[in-house]
Amino acid sequence: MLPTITDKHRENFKSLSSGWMRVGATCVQLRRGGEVLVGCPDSKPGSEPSIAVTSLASGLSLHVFGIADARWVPTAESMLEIFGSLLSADADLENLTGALVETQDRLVALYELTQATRRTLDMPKLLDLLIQQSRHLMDVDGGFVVLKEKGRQTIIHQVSEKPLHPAHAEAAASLYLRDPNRHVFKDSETLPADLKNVMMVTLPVRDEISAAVGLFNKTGNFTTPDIKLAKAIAGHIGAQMENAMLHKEAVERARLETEMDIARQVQTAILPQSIPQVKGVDVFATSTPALEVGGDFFDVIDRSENTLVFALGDVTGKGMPAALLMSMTHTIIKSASRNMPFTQPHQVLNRLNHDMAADFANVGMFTTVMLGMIDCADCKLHFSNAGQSPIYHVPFNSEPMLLEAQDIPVGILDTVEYTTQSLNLSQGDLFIAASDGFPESRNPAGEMYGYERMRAILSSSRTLSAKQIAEVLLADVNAFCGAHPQDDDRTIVVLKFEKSTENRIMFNESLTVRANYEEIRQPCERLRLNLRQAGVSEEIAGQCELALQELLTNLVDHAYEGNPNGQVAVRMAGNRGQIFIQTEDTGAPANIKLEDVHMPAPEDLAEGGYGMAIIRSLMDDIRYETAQEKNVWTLVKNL
Amino acid sequence: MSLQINATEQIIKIAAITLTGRLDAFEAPALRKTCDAFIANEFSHFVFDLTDVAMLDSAGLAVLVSVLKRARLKNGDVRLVWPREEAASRILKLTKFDQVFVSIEKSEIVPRGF
Repeated sequence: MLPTITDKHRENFKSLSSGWMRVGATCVQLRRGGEVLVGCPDSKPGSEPSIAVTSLASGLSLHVFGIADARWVPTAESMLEIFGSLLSADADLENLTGALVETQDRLVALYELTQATRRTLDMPKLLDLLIQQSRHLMDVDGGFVVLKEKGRQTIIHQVSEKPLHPAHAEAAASLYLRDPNRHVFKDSETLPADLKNVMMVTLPVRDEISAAVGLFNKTGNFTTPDIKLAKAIAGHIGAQMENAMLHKEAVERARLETEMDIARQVQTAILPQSIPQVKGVDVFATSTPALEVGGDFFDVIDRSENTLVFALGDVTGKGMPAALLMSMTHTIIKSASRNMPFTQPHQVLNRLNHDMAADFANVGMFTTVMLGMIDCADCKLHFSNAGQSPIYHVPFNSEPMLLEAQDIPVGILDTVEYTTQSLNLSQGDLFIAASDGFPESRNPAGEMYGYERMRAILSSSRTLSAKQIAEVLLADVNAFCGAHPQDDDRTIVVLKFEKSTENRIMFNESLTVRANYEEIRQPCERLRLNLRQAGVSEEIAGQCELALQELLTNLVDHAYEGNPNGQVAVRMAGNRGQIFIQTEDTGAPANIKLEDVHMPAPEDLAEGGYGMAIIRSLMDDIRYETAQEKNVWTLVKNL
Repeated sequence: MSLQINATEQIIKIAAITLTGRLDAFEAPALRKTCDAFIANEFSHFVFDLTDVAMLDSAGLAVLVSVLKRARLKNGDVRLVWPREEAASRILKLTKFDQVFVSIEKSEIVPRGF
């Protein structure tokens, strides 16, 4: 490449030309193609040159005017050669100087790039820097980075005033990846229309990611130093990107570890520290969390003296979202079970589902829940099972039965109506609710513990206490799993019904009637019906009915003295041992000494005074109390 | 001395009352009213057929006792056809009126002679 003609060149040319002038030439010109690079004198002569020589090497020609003598041709050739050499040497020198300056520029630029990238771990920023620096150093229209990772969408990052169509960037990357030894593409047949030329180099990130940097539309063309420079920049940015990835992963891991820690704390905090004990039920519950906390929870709540509520559930997913939902779920169950006027478990689940469905849907999770309520007064277990498994009922006199969940988990459908099932409990019956962490535990060979092993253990350990049964089961699962780490939480609630069914409530009914002869028939008929249904003998049933009839007639006649608006509340209840009848009225207090009541002698033909005496002879105990302006009569019949 | 014949007409009015259902405080006033009417009409003998009485309480018993008392004043009596239901006979035994009321069979309601 020829440098521009300098003043020094003009002077040299003038002194060489002066020789020609002395031998009679009128003008000497140095040309390239049709262009006069330098002439002496400057004015252009009107005629054709008399001598014209051309150097094929440099493409220069020397034209001499005014001497038409062939002897001077070799001289002209020599002069052209000398001057051409001079120009060529100057050009080399200039190029060398330029290259030196450029190298210096590039070194400075790389240094600046290093400094800039040290301060950032942000991927898009790194890619921006990469392309911007390359643009600055190589005079291109723009650049792009293509990142391909198996199983992920290809990422194309561009910095350019006129960004390429992403497909074009990807096409260029594909050309390169097919032949990574070729870096420069300028073939208009293979390149998309908006790419005049493009240089591709590898961005070395990680083995699993194939990445390439493309720089496009350079004025002139890409040179080998450009390739080297681009490789250097890409190498540097690639290393920095890898750092950034490692850093990001480390941060993510730290975040997960913290999250797991918090999740574990939440789970530990909500699990009850002690299990309330209700007379008649031996209850034990425990949870062994896995290393990566699952969403298991349980609770045992003493709702009243005779009622025990227990819950066991498993929120899907792990980590913080699961822990938060678990704690919300647990709180609602706890407060709904304890404070709300819900008498059936499915009402609590309906409430829970209604309150939480949106929250669960937002994070794409749900929870299984088994909610049970043991009523020790009537020896019944009421339970509602939203997808929890396994649940076993082990009757004292038969084999364990796996109870399938009758309803779908909470948090899936906000319109679902949950249902309650009831079981009559006998002394020695077992009820076990567990999380799937038991049957799904695996041994090192990958086998599952399974429902059958669990059933067998429950069957063989049924005579033990609730706590011992849980311990035997846990030990068996641990022995089965051996060295295989625990994958999921193992949570279990064991209830053993110990109450003698002697006290099982057979009926318990309350009703209020007005104090007149017609309405008092109602409680008498109800009492008879209840006793009949409870299997009490006709003899006893008739005695109780007559006693109540006599008591109520007395209240109509004496407490209310015929005032038909007076009210009497009647409660009747019976277990296997006793029948209780209780009345409450707000009439006049009874002025009667029970011990002075005697049956009138029949021969006296008295027309009244039999009622209380009849009651005394029929019932085993009669109590009369007045409290808060109420008269309370209690009749007891022993069975 | 020739036979003196002094014949008087002996009219004994017997009320046969068949009761079905529950004879308790609610129903007792109606029975009492019925019986009051018979007594006013010089009835002195009463037969209560209690066969189908489901339940008898002290208010019902009181009506029977009241009728017995007034019948006796007229040299009459009250007889009962015993209830099938224990719920009805129970009170009679408890109060020992089973020893006061004469019980008869259902077939004896129409008397074969006094």
